[in-house]
Amino acid sequence: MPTLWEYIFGALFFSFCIIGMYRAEKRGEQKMKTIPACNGIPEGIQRSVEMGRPVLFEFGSIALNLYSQYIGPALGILNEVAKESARLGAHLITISFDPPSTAIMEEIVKNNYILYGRTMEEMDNRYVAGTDRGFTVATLAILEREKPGAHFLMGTTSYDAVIVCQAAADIGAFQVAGAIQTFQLPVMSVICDYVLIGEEFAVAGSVFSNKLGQLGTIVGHDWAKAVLVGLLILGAILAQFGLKIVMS
Amino acid sequence: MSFVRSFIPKIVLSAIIVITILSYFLGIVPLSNGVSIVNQYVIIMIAFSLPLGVINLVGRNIKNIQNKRQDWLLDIAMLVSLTVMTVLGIFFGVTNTIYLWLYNNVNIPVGAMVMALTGLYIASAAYRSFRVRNLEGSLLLVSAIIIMLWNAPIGAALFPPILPIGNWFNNYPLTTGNRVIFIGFALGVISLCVRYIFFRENITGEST
Repeated sequence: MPTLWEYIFGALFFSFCIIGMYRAEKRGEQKMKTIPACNGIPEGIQRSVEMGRPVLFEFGSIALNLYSQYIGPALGILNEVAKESARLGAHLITISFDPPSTAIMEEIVKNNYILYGRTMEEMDNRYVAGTDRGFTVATLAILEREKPGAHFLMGTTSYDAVIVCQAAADIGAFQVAGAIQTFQLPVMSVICDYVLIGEEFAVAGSVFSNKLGQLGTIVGHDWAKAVLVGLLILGAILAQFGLKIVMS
Repeated sequence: MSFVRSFIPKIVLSAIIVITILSYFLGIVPLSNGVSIVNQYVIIMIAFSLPLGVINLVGRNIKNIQNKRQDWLLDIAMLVSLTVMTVLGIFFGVTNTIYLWLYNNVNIPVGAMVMALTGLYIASAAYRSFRVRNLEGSLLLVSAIIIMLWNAPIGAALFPPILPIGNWFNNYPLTTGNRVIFIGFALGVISLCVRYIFFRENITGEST
């Protein structure tokens, strides 16, 4: 069973997000800081269209059933990539590691293509391999043969992040990556043009949607962060006096 | 978009999230059983979706071969490999001699080769990252040198104080940075769950 503190903080953080959501909808406006990587996504797609090269989107070599908490936020980003690609007439290639991801990608891309009057024949959703090595090689092959102008790696990956991001950089692709696993972040930070780190990755989909309810939850999330930072400072001060109540 | 395609998935997702959260916090047995059943359904659905992936893969490769697109011979090799391994696995079992021979002598060495590629690409990435162009680049370079010397046995032999410095780096800046990212993401997932529960998130890609 969870501890008392888990109940309290669980209830508090959920409440913050719900209050933030309704507050934003009631007020009718919600200001939001710009995330540079979010601006980078349309920029990359526009660049690809100008160069006459395709756009490549992938979740990395991860299975949906094992890492759904990482793929969930990436769906909002795929929605934006599909929307911009459909609007600008870009050739969007989506590749997936497992069949359920293929089905989800197809659904998102199809809905956006319908919205912008693109035909279903223009969709290019590919299931490439079910193993991390096969997936890495297939991605390398697409990068080398089709030379995408923009590469979006959203999700979490293992060693293949180094190989794929470096290969994409070698062909001059504009890259935006999003990751949670911190051991891939240094590599992505130096290779990619923009990186969505941690919470930026979790909220990017909402920032793109620009809907008040979605933006409001981000405000609630910031209040939760403020509470945690306050507790951290309080704990550090109390620890100096030998009181470990916050730490425990 | 039709009601069934846009609204039903949102209701199902919202209900599953609520049941999962309640089963964790309240510990009610019927709810926990419900979560177990949903997990089993997920495994079954994923197993059923495998043919979907195979159809996608085969269909695309056949189209490439028909149109004689670039490297279409490789598509033939892919289809032959897929067929041979599937037939051997289904009709003769995964302990069959030919299946095992192909797996041990083709799949494993090729996989090891792909892993080995990481070394080459890391060298290339390291060159890109360790160029001192600005303050952040310099900090990255200094940190990388300290961590490399701390991990390599020769580091301590050449410069013994590297051990406490490396330990400090590992225990404080590295752990702090990791926790900040994970806590931030965890809070982001809470806000995502709230959006799913209250139907504020687009899960099927509708843009309007």
